[in-house]
Amino acid sequence: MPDPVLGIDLGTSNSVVATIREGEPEVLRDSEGRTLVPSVVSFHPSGTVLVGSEAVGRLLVDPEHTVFSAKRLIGRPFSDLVAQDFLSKVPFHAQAGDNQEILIQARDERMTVPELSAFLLHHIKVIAERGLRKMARKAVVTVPANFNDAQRAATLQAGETAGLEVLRILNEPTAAALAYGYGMDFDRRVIIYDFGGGTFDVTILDIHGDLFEVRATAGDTYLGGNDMDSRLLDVLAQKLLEEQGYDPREDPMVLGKLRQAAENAKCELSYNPRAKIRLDELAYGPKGKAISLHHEVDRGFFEKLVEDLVDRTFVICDEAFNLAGLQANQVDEVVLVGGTTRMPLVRQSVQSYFARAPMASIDPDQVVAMGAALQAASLMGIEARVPSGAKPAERDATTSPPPAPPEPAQAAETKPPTRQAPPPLPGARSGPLGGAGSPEPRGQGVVPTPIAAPALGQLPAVPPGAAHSGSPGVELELVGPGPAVQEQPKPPAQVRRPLLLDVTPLSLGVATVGGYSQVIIPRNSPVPVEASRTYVTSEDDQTQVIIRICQGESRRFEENTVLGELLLEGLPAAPRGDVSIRVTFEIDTSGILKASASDERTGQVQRATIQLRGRKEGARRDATISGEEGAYRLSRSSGEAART
Amino acid sequence: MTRSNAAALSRLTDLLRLLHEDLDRLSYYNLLGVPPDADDELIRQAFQGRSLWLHPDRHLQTAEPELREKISALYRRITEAYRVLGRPADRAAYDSLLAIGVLRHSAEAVEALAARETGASRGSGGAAGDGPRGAGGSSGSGAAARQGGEPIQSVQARQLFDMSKVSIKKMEFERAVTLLEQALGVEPKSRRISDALDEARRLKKMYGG
Repeated sequence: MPDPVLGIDLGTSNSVVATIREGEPEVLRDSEGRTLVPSVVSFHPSGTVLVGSEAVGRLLVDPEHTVFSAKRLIGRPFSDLVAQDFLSKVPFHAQAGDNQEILIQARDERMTVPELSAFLLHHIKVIAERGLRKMARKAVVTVPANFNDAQRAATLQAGETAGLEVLRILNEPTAAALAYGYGMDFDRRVIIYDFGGGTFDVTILDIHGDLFEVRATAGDTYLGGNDMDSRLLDVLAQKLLEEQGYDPREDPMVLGKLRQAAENAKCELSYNPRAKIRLDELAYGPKGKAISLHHEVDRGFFEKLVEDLVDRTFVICDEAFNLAGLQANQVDEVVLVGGTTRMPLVRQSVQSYFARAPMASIDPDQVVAMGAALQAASLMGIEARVPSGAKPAERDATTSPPPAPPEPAQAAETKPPTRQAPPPLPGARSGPLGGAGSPEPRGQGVVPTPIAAPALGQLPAVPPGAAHSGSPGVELELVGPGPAVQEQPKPPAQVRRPLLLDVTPLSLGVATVGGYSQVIIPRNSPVPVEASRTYVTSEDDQTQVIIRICQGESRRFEENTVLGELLLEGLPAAPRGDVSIRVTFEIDTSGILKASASDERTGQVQRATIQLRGRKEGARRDATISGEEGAYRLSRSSGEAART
Repeated sequence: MTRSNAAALSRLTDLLRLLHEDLDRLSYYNLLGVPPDADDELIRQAFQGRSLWLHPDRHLQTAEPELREKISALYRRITEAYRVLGRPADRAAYDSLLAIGVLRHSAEAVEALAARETGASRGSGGAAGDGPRGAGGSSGSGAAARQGGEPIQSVQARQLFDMSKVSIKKMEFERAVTLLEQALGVEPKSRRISDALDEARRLKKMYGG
């Protein structure tokens, strides 16, 4: 029996962990039977650290030492506007470290955001191990699709500190798509509309059997249900101030209670037309007068309050369709993910934007963790079975056009002119492109064969047309289908491991003269991806080059997220212009940037180090977490304690 | 693992090694296995087909780290091909580059091409200005460009040029360089020959004589 694998949805408000048990994805529960782990970490006066459900109660009694929604801070430098905005609204405290990293005040210690998230991940690991009665180290951890390199790298670091072996940082919508389409033998285009507590993402994917290709992704990492809570919180605070002359913003404890009340009311309004907020003796005003809040919110009022936030999601949807070169009506299914999609307003708006009813039969809270577990199993070579009740569509191999996916009735007449069967590739009729390599029938009566290996004789053959490309040196018959590769190997019969083809959500750029950003890897490029650029020394005997790197879509460098600097050192002393260094930027399958460099003339590998802004390197890597369910301690083997 | 699977795997391994070695001699069209006039849909399907086979995730259980890295490098080149051919402006620029024997698209290559077309510069490669990226199109990319610039005029130079191609096929790069130097001696202004010579020198440096 192989080691268990975990899929972890590390959410802004709540986290979920799933595994593959007996071949099927399964969400794990804590000892109380709960599947949602609140993403809350509290520093108790005794020195222990409370996590998850244990920490939630502390939000009200110890708000200054209880951290929630840390995901909104992860991978951001202290000076970041979003971080500043968030920190100005929460009762806990933070300050800037030496490298602009955010340090959260955890009683008499300061903690980085990855360390804080590590508590949560460690807690999740402990819950999973209890449920499984086994050690579990290997995990796929999900992040919003629009997370940048720094946010992904910080999440990875959190996983390592938590004692996990992070197999992959996976995009949440992609994970959701996997859980939705895995083993279903779909041949359809889906859009994942993922509106969570802190972030919004939209991803358009083509699913062909076991192949999941992301066509485009877009998102906003600072747009979620939390913002709706804040809007309602502001209304309540204003009401207290106007009617009773009391400003709750002065007391973090009261503010914490109000925030909770606002969130509860928001959730209730998803099911009821009105929600009552009743907070007695919330605080004491001048002369010991008790301040209480009794208020009723109706759905219409709340919807007006947050309408513009919902509207913003559709601007992002437009952006994704533009990127993919597609129209909103060219989608076969809309899948809702994330707790905020429970709101009736969101569902109605989604339905009118896409002109079809969204798919609502999957649990928007669990689907991401389940998809992550499926991907973890796939990466470990474990064969997961098709989830029970979800039999793969049986298809008659002789049917000419593949059966159309089931669609809501009202959209039947607006059937988009999507993909038609393509012409077969010249000279490769049974090659990996034409049939055997594609897991789904393409309307040519090909039996769908789940396949892991190619038709060997076909791939390397240069297609006939290539000979006319006119480029010298490429008219080679590189690897002819010689006798050794005539016989086609058969893949193992049961292999149905899904393959995810994802993209990088943001353009990677380097700073140029004049403060511009030159795009090295454009957004929406499939990963893993690499691109190179050559740098020439501009001064005599120059021995180092510093390249500033950013992610984002603005032409102006500083308007993007500045990731940091790439430092090339130890260049040979030579007249200017004589040393040229080829720098290769690579974005891996987790969306994390690597760089390498070599001297163009000597071919010698050059040292290239990326120094990320807002990340503390070195000593803090040695941090480890120990403890029992819900109560932990962090120890740093380096002894560097960062005490205040 | 059954014996036949093991045999298949070993053949796969050999093939991957070969493909990896040829990485710098394959155009994006070669890498994806599509004709140069392939439409977007065909290119996408080719990419999907390649991915099913060559995506690094399909090879995580491959024991040798060195082979895994080769597969990964090969696949990164395939994503590069898909990225460039999937964007009309980049693809047009790439077709112009390909016509002069440049097999990889890069911002510098596009800049150099633009400079060359305006007659401003004749430098090979390099010339990395720090200016913003030259607009993808670089004009036309039409049939003439696809043919590889102006044809070689003299019979002698053309013969030498053709012989050098044969040498490259046989991996005799040193000989190819000599032949192309002679051809350039006959027809010093031919861009086709000078580009082929650059390429042959690069191959020679990479693989030895």
